[in-house]
Amino acid sequence: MRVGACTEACRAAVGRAEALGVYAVVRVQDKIERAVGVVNGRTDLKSVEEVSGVGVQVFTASGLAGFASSDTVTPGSLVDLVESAARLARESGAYGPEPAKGIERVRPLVAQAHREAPMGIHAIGHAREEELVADICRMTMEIDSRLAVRTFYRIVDEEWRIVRSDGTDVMFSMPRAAVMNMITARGDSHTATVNASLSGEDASVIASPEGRLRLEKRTVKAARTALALLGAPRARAGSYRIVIDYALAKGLAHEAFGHAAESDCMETSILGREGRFRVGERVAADIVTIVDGPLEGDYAYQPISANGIPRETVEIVKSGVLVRALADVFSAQQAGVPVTGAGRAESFRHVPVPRMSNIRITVDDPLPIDLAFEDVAPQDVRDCLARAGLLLESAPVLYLSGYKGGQVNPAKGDFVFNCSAIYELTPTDIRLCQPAIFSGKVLSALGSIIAGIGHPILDAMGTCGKSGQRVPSSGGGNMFLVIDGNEEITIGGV
Amino acid sequence: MSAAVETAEALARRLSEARGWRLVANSVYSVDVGMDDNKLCGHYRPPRAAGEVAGSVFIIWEDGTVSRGRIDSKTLARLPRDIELWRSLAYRDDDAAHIAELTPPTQVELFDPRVSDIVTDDAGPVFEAISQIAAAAREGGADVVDAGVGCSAVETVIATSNGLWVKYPETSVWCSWSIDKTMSGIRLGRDRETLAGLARAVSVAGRLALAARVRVKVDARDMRVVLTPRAAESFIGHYLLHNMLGENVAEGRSRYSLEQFREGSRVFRSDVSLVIDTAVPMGPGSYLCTSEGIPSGRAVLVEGGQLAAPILNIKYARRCQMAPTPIPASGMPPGHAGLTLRAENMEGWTELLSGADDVILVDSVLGMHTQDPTTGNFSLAVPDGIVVREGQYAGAAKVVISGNFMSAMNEADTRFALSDDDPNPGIELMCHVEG
Repeated sequence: MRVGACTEACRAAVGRAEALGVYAVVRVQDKIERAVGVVNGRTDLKSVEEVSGVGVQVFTASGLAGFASSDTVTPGSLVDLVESAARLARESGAYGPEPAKGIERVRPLVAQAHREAPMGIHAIGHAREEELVADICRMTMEIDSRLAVRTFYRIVDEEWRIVRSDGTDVMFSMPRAAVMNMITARGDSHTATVNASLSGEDASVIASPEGRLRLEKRTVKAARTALALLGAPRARAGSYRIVIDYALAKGLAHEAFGHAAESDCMETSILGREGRFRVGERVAADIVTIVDGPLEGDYAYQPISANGIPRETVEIVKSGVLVRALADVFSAQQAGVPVTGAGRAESFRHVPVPRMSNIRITVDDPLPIDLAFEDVAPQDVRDCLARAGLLLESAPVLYLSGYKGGQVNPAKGDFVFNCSAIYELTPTDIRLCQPAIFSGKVLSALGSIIAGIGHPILDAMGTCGKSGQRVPSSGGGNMFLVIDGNEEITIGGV
Repeated sequence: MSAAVETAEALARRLSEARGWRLVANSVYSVDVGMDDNKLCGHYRPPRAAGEVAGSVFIIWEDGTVSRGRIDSKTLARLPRDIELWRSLAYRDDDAAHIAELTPPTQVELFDPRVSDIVTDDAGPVFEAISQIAAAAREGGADVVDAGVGCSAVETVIATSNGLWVKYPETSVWCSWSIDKTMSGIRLGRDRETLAGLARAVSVAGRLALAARVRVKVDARDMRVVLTPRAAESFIGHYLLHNMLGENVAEGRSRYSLEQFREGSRVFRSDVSLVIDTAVPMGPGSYLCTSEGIPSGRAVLVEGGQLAAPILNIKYARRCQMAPTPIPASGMPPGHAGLTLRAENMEGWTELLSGADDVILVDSVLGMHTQDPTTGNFSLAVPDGIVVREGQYAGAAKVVISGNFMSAMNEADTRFALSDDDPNPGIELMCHVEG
């Protein structure tokens, strides 16, 4: 691995830390990222970035912490960083800082987790990459002349090395790739923007027949939705029984729940009480399970934490009951939970914080649907609900399709996310409506899940923002989840 | 000589055989400290020092293809190889394949040596400032305080193959705070004074947070909503900026077409204007020239409610056959970057608030990034909408507000009110509110 070349620099850092009487965590990042952007059939961007650097975090015996980073990874640079971080740590002592504790309790680890992606960053040449992306863009434009299309493809080969004063020395890689089609439909007086994307660990998302077919199907579906939205009415605001697809389910699990289960925010989280995780409390029906953990081949794969601890697969909720939090070494004890290796950092410049990787929410005994997700039409969803007796006579069931991002306040339990389109499903009609936000209270939403449809799909890709850092995230759930009407969960309003 | 200058000089020599090139290189040093949940520093927000070289290069090769590359501290040592790598990714982009004619950069003051000293010698003022913020918040009754304070010192080099060589120092200071995880504020600047007098600014958020502790009920209906200047910034950034970017206009991803700009279509109320000015002395988003070598300055985007010009870099200026404009700096609210919305006869912010009755005051929203900027429609959750009755805070309610921001810019009863502390006005507009 490329990060294997900085052994001497890491040793110099650890040696200098010892001489200064501080504990050091050295984090070396080496990332190669290539991107192609095509706008309306014309290449708009081709780039390659090779980013490497190192962050050094030090801890004094009394728990004072300091951090320094640089994009120069040499023995001399690392010695300077240790000295700078130690100086800042000691300077902070005059202002009454919170002591940082926990790192001394973890066991040393020497390991290497290198993930070799079958169609990694060097498998396809730049020119071929450009052809493939341009072809996807043009294919999308040909669906209808009213479409403006931006197709963006990115492949990343990222490596990390974590070295600690206790002898820990781990290296791991996080390969990933994604292609996104941003489609804007323009009518006489309206516009509508929808996205179609596919993610994974390598170039197969654009270069394999399977990847290309899935992306095409998603794109065609999204483009037709955008065009139909140009004349679509708005859904009436209110509380409804709703159906969300697996990408929105990932949003629900991630935004509405996962962040509240991170150990660093337990003092203010709705899943904490007096600073401790509410283990054993029921938060959902007993059919609901929420799991977070790295999956090989996934866009958000990370096998080892940024503190050098193996990342565990964690059952956060099992059969509706809170079981475990996503915890790093610095806040696990205070939150009353075991360390799960949840620390992640965007780059060498950042201090790791607990966060998710691939989070999925699943329901026991889902209703069967004998179609691939890309082939499911609103009619199929309605028929499935009708067969299960879940379609209502008195009010429409709203089917929310496509995830367009979300946000949560873990301290208050408020969440919001948006979809690409809403379908009003009634026994006699299906009506497409403009997207509107789905907002409410986290625990109300979880407690209202009454059914799932189809097998789990876990490739809903996103970028998670927290503490000023952005890291890849992914997840999913059953193909669809059914959430019963609840006055604390609303659609709209308009 | 700084690493940025050394790197820029070496690159300029190596690229002499290309048809054209331009580059920007920065030597960046910064220091910051944070507070989470009342805890100063700790593991998650320790005092941090950072130093690196960052920048980019754009090259036009002899065959007319172009390449883009990234500059860092390793670029100097691996120059022949990096240039080959960039060349291997060359592509055809004829509108982009142009280097700006040599024009003297605008002289704008951006540097305070006292801030540079904080970064390089003594981080004490940063610790003192965050302590001031925490103290002010607690005095105002805050239960939970989150905050951050930082300073940076940068040496920037911008150069082109047409003879531009600009080298200048700049400093930046940023402070942010959040009270009880509900109300927050920021202050951005370039001088040492940015760190002074923070208590008064923090108290504004503190008063809103206190008001949010009393919960009241709001019935669903159409009603007046007042966006604080901070909330208005997020609307301006999401809706106006997106639709004014030349890239989006030229590629059909804006609400507005190029023809509408050429025709000067009326899109807002006749007294509403939108201006970008990146040459404000010591402005947080100011600069001497863009990374493409276009001098900093002022450009009118909307005047008298009519579209005047989109925000254009060289590529899209050529494609649109219009003049390039200054570009708002990224990474900060649009007003701090120089993008300001104005209306004639704007009221004072204090006066607007004191005269408000039966309105919802909105300081932050959840989900702005999920909204489609081209439509102008918004449907946003407001966890703590402050109910104002007869100019007094009556409590707070969780509401969902919806409407169309672009239409509001055209409504006769939309009101704009400026405060002394914010670059953009607060906005009162009609919304549908769901309680």
